[in-house]
Amino acid sequence: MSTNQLRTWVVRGYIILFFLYLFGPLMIMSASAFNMSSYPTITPWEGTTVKWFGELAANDRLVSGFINSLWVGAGVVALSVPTALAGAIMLMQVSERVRPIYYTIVVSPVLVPGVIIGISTVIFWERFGSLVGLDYETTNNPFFLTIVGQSTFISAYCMLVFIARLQRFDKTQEEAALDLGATHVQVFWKVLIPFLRPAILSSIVLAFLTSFENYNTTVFTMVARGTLTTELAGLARFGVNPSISALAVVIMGFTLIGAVVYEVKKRREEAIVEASKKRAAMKRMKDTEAAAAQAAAAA
Amino acid sequence: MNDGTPNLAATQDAVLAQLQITPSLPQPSLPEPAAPAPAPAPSTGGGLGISPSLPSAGSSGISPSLPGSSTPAPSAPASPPSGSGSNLNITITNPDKLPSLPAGQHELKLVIQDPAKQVPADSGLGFIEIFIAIVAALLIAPFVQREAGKWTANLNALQFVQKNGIAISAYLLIFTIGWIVFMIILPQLYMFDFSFRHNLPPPDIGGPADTYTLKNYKYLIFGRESDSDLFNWLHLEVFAKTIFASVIVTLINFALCYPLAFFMAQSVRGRSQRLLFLCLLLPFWVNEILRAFAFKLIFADLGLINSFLIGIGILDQPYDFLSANVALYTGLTYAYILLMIFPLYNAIESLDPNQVEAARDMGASWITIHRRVVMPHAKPGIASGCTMVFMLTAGALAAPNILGGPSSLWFTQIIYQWYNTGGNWPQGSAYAFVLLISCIIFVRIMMRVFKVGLGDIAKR
Repeated sequence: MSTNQLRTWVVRGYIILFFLYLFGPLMIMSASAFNMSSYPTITPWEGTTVKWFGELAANDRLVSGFINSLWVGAGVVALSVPTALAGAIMLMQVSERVRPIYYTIVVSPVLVPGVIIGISTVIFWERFGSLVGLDYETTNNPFFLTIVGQSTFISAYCMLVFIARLQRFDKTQEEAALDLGATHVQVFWKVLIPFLRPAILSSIVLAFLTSFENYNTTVFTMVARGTLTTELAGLARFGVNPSISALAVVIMGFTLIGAVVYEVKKRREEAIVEASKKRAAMKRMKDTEAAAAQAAAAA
Repeated sequence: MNDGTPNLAATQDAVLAQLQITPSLPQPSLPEPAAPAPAPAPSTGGGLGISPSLPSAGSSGISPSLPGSSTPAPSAPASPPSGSGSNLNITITNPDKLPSLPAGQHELKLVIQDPAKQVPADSGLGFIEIFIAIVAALLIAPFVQREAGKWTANLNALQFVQKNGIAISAYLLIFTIGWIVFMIILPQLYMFDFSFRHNLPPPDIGGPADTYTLKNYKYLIFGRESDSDLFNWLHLEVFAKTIFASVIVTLINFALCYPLAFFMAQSVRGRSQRLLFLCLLLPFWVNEILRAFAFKLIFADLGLINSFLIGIGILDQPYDFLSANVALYTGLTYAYILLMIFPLYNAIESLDPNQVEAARDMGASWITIHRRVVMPHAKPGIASGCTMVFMLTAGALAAPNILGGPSSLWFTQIIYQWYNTGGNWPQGSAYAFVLLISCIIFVRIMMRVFKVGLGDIAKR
């Protein structure tokens, strides 16, 4: 066997092992959701069942946690996407001297551990609230604290998405619209926002998913209430019930469907692009043929 | 000493003569010099101020009304709780600067300060606390300066409003300033401040007992004073273990991801590349908790590996992988793989394959190509991936909660305990601040070593 062949096999083996590491645990967990055993395991297999899915739907804490997660996610999207957009536009406008400092400040939440963001949010609103005479119920509302706490760093994530898109924005479009008599608000809604639409959509998805899945900040700010993730963590730590595995199966099912849809859509797009390329090539060929024929005729 | 002072007053705006009643006070604190305005200055924070305008200042006329001498001043709303000592500060404003007042009439300001406000409860630490306060002020000062700089830059530039219109300007300013001030900067400062306070029940907060202390930080290093050990080994060990294990996890992660990132960036194209990406992303749509839980199923006493090892007769007793932290490290490595692989991929992807080809043609060995060509090019990606993985690992709470054994602790778990079961928020804040500082130091080191900016690291 030549060294080249050996290398190919090493690479292949490595990739297989890597993806085994990636998918193995999830597959084992999914399998355990169908085991009769009341402890989530696949050895020994005590018979196949779907009763853990029923148990999952009957778990009130998980269900109410799920609803709380949806509310928090919606709140975070509503707060962090506009904040991120403002932050990104501001970055484009602040003076050259201030820009690095400004960027350091707004990007720092990405690098601060979530635990610390949670703690500081709770302390700040508790103390600041009493200082300025805010209502205790407001400043200690778990939803308020969680939305604000999560938005602190989710805004920074979304801002990075906006910055990437804004860097390709052609400023002359705005100027042209202003010259033609549009107001600033009109320019904002009719020029900038349509240009940013893909970034807005992806930051909405990003914000919602990050919020939904967050544990470190939420476990502090949610106080006595819980989101799906924090309830799940409690179950995963103490509870020994395969209904958690059942939930994993549900989530993975949705993910797989999404992935397949995405792949099919991409392939169709590719096919369309290919087809149009072919058509264009054919047309070009015909054109050159026609031109050649014309030239020949002229000669 | 207080009456004829025109010669002194000629040199400064205000002369501050200080009269110390009780010499037992270790550190008499100076109030701010009174403003050279004709109106009597209000009392400074916490102290009791009496500012009568006397036609002639004489020390004999003042002394009877001092609270230090057991009879409180008549105009005082409340007497200081502890009558241990008071300061008497007499401020004589330069009469030359006050043309409205007749000659010889001096502004006199009495500031009697409650020493309990100024001197910390454990007065042995007075110097250190002031030192810490100065350090803290120096730490905060750049932020304040930056903020001020940003604000003035924006406020000065009227063209900002002209450029954006009033409505859009208001939107931009309100959201950005709200975010920066109320969500990023102030919470961190409040946490910093809180970490220097005593653990008080809510009614006492803001009261006389609400003083600054170093004991929360002292506890992390030295533990309880009644303990026999000099240092708080338990917590220090957990801290060191957290940092060290995070570094190890980061290195393993890098070793695991680098080959795949290189392979994906340089050898795979088109459809199969997209499929690989999809496969990488799929597991990360599953909740972090569930991913950790999956590892618990594998490593638990009744889990897959133990059943297997017992089944083939290698073990007769299940091995406790959870207490040995094997499950924790494996799970943590797994949890943040994506954050390592994408920066690496992005960085390597921009490398021209011809460079690798050229190096190979010139006879460079496989290791040399990576060490001298690929890695230097991928430096920003390496820095970004390693920093993100380190920060997330050191700050992880869910995975240690689920995968850590009953006896093993992660530093974030101690912080959580101070908040939750311990019920000592200032103590938790101090620990959280130590973690924050360590993370900042780590990021700084990475930036220095890899010579990259913060922007390169945060970009994912």
